[in-house]
Amino acid sequence: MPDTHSNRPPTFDAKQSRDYTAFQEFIRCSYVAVNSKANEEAYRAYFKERDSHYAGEPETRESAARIMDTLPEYQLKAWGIRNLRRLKYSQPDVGIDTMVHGQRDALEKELDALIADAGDELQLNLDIKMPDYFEWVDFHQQPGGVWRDDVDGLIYDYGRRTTNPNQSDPNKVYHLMWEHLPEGKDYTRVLDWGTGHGGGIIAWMQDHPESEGYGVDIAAPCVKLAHVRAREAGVPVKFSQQDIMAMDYEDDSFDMVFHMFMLHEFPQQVTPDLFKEVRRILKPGGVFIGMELALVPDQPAQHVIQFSDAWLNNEPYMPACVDADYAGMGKAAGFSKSVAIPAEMNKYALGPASKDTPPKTTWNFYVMEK
Amino acid sequence: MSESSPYKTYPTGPVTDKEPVLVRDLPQDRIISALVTLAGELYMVRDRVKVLEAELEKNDILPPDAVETHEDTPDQAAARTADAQAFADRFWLQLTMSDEPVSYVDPAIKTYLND
Repeated sequence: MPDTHSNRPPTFDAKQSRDYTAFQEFIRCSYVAVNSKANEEAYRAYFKERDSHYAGEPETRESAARIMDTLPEYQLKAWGIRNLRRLKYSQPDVGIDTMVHGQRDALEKELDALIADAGDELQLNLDIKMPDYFEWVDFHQQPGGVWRDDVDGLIYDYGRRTTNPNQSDPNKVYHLMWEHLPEGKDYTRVLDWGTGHGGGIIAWMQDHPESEGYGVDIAAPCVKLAHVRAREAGVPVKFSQQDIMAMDYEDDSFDMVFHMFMLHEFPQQVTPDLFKEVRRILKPGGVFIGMELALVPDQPAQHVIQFSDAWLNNEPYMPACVDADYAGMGKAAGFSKSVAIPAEMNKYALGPASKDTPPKTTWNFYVMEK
Repeated sequence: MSESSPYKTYPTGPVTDKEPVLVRDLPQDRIISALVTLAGELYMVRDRVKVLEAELEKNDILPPDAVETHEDTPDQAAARTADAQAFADRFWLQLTMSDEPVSYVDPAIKTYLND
């Protein structure tokens, strides 16, 4: 598999059999097909059914769900969303989870050796209490989640390579987001909020070597892997395992905090406090920027697909998230400016362009200034 | 989805219990079409392997019938048997699999959902 963070091959990597790579490539292509061709077929069948049998009736999410629910095209897409992920992780011998866990002891030893001299580039808090909303869900159907086992970070890193909408450059989404950073500001101290595999802050540091890079995540396996990947890429980043609800960074200490599709991992009840905590650590004039999934206005069929994907892919907080007014929440948290900028999906060639096939997803860039 | 849901496929909450049955209305003709397509793809691979064997023989890289007359060492035979069994197991697992999800969502999560 290609390295996702730099032009150098990763040094920390599981041994992957030919069968494993062939199977994962098949699953990746199948996932793309489900999210493009099968998705478009579901929409086409929906519009045809709606126009032929429900013409003139008000179109609501409920009516759209009733129509969509009966369509084999939609049912097949739903099967793919649920089961291709299951096969990807858990297929005997050739699933990511089974492949990595088959080498678990050796990988754990190697990881321990690679982080032994991390110094202040890796701060762990192994006694941290996981919030219940996080502990209760195996997000993205990764069995066991991303925090229970030392090799979970590696599994997450492999897993994201079949999720990204642009396979040729998994870090493209970060660059799209940074195009929306306010100009004329100094982004010296930068924090990757929910850093995961570290890909975001590593990409930032490669573009801005003069910056001081930080990454925070509650999952120890992720920050350990992120540290290793940063070392492989040759960029200095200080990673820290913390609950982002209450971070140990000082007030007014960052010029920019960014995230990538993090908001849908939290229930709405905790989001206002999360925003206040980010505002606290930002310098005056500092920027909090991130991307998140959103609904296409006045497209109930897209809402149905979005919610369906969320429930089936173990993303239980997403249905409320895509309906949320995060820009308003930013203002309520005290940010002086807080805006939602819809992503032009077709401009980025990330979704179909036909008027009868709305984008499979849509995104908003959220930009908040302290 | 569940007995209490008005829907067959469309989910109205997280998967906290059993694996959902999602495809209920796919015409069997399409399943047969997919299987026939796979058979066609398999034949294309089979054809290429045959051509490859012929070319290897023609260029004196392998003796005639090398594949057909190949005899495994005991270790190779054991590995081949294990590989065949693993292949068969992966296939049959899909038909006999448990409906317990391999990824987990705690029903307690409904605390945070607006049911």
